[in-house]
Amino acid sequence: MATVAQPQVIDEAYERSLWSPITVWLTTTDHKLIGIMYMFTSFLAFLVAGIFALIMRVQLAQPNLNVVDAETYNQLVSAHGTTMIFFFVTLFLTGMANYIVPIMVGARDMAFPRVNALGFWLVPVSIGLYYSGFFAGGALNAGWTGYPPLTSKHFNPGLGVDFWTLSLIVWAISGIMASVNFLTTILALRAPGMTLLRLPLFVWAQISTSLLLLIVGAPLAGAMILTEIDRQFGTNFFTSAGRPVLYQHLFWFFGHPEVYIMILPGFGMISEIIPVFSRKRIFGYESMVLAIFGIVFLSMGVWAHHMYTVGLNIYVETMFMALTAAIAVPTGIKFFNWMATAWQGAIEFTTPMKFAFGFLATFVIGGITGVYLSAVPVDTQLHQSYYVVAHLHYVLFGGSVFTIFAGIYYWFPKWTGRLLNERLGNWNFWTMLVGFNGTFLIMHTLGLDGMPRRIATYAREDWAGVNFFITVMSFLLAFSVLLFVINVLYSRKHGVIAGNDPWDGNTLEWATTSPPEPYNFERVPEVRSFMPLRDAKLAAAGSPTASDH
Amino acid sequence: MAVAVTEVPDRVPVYPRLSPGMMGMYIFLASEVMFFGTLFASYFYLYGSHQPWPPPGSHPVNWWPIPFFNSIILFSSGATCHVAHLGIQAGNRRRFFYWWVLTIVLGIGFEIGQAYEFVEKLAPQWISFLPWVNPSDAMAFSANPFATAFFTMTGFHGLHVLGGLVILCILLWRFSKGQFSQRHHVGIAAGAIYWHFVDAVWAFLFVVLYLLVTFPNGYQGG
Repeated sequence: MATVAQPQVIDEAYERSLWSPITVWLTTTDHKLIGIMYMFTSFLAFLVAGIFALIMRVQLAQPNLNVVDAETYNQLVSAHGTTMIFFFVTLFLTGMANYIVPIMVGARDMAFPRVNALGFWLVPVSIGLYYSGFFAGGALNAGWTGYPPLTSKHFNPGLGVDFWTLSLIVWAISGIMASVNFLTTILALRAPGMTLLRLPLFVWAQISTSLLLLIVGAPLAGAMILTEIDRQFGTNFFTSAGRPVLYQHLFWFFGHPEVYIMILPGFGMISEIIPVFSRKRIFGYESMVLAIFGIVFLSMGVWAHHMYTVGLNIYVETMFMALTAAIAVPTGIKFFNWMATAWQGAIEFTTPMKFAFGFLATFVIGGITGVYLSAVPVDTQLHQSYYVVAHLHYVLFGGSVFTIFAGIYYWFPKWTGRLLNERLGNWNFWTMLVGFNGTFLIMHTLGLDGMPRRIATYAREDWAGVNFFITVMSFLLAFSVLLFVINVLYSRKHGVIAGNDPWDGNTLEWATTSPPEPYNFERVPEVRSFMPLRDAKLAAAGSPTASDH
Repeated sequence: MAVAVTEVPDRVPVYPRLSPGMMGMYIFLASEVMFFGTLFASYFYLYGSHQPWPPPGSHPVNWWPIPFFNSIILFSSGATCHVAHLGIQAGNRRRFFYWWVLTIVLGIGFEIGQAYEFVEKLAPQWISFLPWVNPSDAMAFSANPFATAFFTMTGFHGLHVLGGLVILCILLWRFSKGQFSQRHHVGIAAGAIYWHFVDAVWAFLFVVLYLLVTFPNGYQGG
């Protein structure tokens, strides 16, 4: 017994704090440090893109304002969309999964730690390439979707488009690296006893996300490469001699699954948080897994619902309409499972749980307007209006971003050893819920009234009041993010010490220290169900362990 | 120094017998399939929306002679690569070395053939001293959608072969450092799988871009 080998300190430098010499961060291959770097980088992107949004809201506060000129506005719209989608939500979720997934499956690191580091370091390259456009005569100004001919050399000779395509090619390569790494880690490095049907649902969500990005990342890179070849060599993929609509097919074959790349990890987090704070098992574990893969399967067959107005064959449109509406079925299964999990549970309204319930309330609105928009005749009317802006923010902000905040409040003690302040968290949640709904709910009516999106200004006086209200509310939303930043800065130093398991959790990340050692576990626990830590606690208390799953 | 006997946990799952390195390569190849799938999908989209195909005015490509011999060279290199892999599996380092080097030589031969074909079409004036080169057979990259797709697809395949050659050479260098053995050669196995993948892509390219363009109505005989 005396010769129990103490695990060697693999990376001595890891022991130092967040403010340790920069070389630690530059050279690390530890999945936890890389995860933190992902989250830090993408949160900076979130703040920048949020400021862009505020500038746009100031511009739209009243009719015919000229806070920024139309060209700048176009660049801001494009940068806001690109940054939020590519550089914030997707990468922040990658960072969270980077930190949590290997621990959840009982691994000591990712399968390919150096590929992991390379995948991360491509991220600043990608972001830097995009933002170089601002210093080279103007960034992308054709919207985040960048349809030709808006991006063709003839109509858009500036370097912004080139920087955008290069940036997204690098981003796709980085994403494919991360996906290969996640899938291999989850398939090959699980702890003994961790069968596939004992994986936590967050891990299942990461499998589905990685699968999607693996499949659709290359078509995105392909679309960008062909755009760039057209621009540099005067070729004919997306010109009038070729087919401009081909670009839209390629882009949306990536673009729609990207929506699920951004929401499925969030679904996974909600599936972790609600059972913990309801003190119940997740309702319908297998149906949750099946629903995830139903969504994965359907999401790759619905891309043309972004293209109803380009003149597709009506039978093709009908098929895409039916498949799009069908996504509501697996999503609905997940919703009812979450509600059934919380039902009659001993619910604790901690901040993560509040964000989880906030997610349920707002995401369902985005889901319903999504089904509504899937109908061809409805979409034909509402296309390019503020209704679509409202819908996409309900799924992206009310969906993905609320789950991200829920996940941060849930796992922050694991990352830092200290809890985030509950009082500030409460204020953060309520200002965000009110600010978010105040900003986007009424945009539905603006859209129904015909206000076009992406346009730098508007002339109608009767839209002024609503737009002013939206602008005020968007600043409330920004204030809530400010509260969050203050909370993080404060709690890192002065938060309540969390201990290993502050929430009485079910999964393996709570079985190790906060923050975990570089090797994650001194001894990998034995896994007998999808709630291994709960089993261990029940066994320690003398109760019969949870039935084998 | 007795080690405490631990109870064997029940139901220890049998993980895939694949090493993580091989698994990673197979998963990565899925995204490569999607990349070439994107190019093929774009090709068929343009094909379906432009009649006749290839559009008039383009110099049609021909499967004979260079693409044909290039196919033989590349498929042979797949075979030699496999033999080399079997060699290291059998612990025969000499067999691995010679067949692996032959694979690299064949790969370089394929690249030379491809480069010649590109020059012949894009810049025939560079090689006009060759008696059989006809400068009027030129086909500009931007001539029409067919030319655009043709050069993009074969060009990206050529770049992948180049990447494969870099991988093969790195593996040869690691082999020379003694980093592989009969039991431990995941790198070689993964590199060989990648090489087989670029071979397989060429099979599709050869049929779609050469045979189907040379014989749009099927082979008529004679």
